[in-house]
Amino acid sequence: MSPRSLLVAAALSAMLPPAARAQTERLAGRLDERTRAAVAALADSARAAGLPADPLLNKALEGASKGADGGRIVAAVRALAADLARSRAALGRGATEVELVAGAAALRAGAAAGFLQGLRADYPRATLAVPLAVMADLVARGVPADTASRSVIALVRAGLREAELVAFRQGVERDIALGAPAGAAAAVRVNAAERDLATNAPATASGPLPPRKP
Amino acid sequence: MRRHAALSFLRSSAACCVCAATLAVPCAAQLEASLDAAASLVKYDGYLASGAVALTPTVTWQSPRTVLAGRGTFLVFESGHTSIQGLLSAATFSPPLGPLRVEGAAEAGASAYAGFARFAHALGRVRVHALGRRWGVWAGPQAGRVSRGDGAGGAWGATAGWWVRVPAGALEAAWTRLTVGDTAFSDLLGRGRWRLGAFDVAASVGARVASRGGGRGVYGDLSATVWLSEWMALVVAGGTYPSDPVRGSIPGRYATAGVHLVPRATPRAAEVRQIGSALPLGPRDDPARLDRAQVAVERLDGLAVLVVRASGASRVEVMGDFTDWQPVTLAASGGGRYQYALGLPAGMHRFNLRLDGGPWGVPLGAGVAADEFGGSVGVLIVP
Repeated sequence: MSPRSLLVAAALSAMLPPAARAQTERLAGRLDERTRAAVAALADSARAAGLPADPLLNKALEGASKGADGGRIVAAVRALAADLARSRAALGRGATEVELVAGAAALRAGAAAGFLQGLRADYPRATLAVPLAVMADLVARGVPADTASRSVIALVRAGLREAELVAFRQGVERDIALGAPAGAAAAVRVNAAERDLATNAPATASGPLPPRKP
Repeated sequence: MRRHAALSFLRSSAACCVCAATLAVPCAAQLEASLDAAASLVKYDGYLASGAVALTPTVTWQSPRTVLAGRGTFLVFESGHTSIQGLLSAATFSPPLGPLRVEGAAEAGASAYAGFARFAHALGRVRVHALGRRWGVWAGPQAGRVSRGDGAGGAWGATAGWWVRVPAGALEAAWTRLTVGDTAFSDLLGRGRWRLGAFDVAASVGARVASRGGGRGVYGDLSATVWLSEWMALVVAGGTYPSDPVRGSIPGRYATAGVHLVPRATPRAAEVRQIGSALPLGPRDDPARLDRAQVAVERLDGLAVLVVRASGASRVEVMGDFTDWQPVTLAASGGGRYQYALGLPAGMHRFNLRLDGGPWGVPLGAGVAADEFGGSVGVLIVP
């Protein structure tokens, strides 16, 4: 970032409303000046676009606490801002901050925007934070994104409450820990007739091979 | 003419694989791809040692019950000669039948070396698995056809095996009997896979016995993989392998080093790693896991409170989006129970935990995701 843009960012920061300024001040002392200015500028852009800035600042603070360099922090914040924008586009302008964050995580995990749109269309008034977060978490555990999306939709349509969705996620975690393939773990948890599965899946071909010669 | 016969054979074999796939239960699926690039030193029995470089692209389609995989290998030897190998495989599992599951699988492959040695094969197998929570056994027959360029013949045999999960890894033992034309042999093979710090280590040792025309002896290999990022790993491996009359390879020994690239990054922390019959290692095997700590969200006076059980720890610290990512020491409430004093709002929270000033990690009970800073982060969902 050039000195001129730093100056512009600083000037913009001074013009912020108090609440926004308080948000940005969370970064003080945690990031070097250049990184802080860049993150503040991204947060300002997000606010201007109607997106929440707190998740972006959290991301920057996470990077700072983990000793990441400024470039990596800014890249992570920028990527999250883009994911939040995609999340909002899919969930609609009425989406809450926690929904947007969970939606961004789901999209990052591999959910299709159509999954978010479908959930919102089916449940226009419900809060979708937990279903979206469960979906993202399932994918983080290795459940194929399509399977995770369909599992969550099936469970929501079946009327599971949020706490039950969280319990479902824990059940899948247990199955995976016991040796079940992640995708199968989710599928069988959805299908009660196939529960308690702790089996293995066919081998996938990957990794280097010995240089065999015919 | 020979080439035409081999290609026809491969086409019909591939068609069999595709048909097998279409018969599988339709379900949600995921497509993944990877590329291995490696440099090797290889010495085939009866030949001088040679350098070689190889490219191995792999594509895998996986659903909860079915896996389709395609893999090609392009090898260039020091002499300038090239070898091309391709393999298609498909496998699908039945629904559980009590403690049993039935697996149907097929593979078809072809290879050519220096434009004159061509091989093709197609094999099908059925295996019955009996499954426990941390172990399994399987057995079943296999049969197929092998083309060696100068004609095709039958191949048949049987296989049986056992696997068990062990701390940070898994072990497998297998026996295979195969007859290909007038060649027959048995292989006894033991395999293991472990996650040791940043390394994934795999080893195998086998013996060829009761052989008629297939050679005898002991063979084995060792490989280590270290992940540099979500999409790239370094791999070193070496060992020996016996002849393979089905896939048309001669015995040899090798040492190889290369990179494994996964263009579409997947969350490594929860990636299911597999051994032999694809035994996955659970999240407890992740190096970022704090196995001595278990986290939960409990409702206390209407608040969602983060509670950690870590017997034996004298200090438990947490940092997360609810602490501004500043370390906060949790209050001990006796019996190895610690809690964060403030309630957590509903939604998704990211955090890390450490015990007694050790490394930051993720306790059991929380989701694990790759953070954007080269590590792992715990994920908690508060309803």
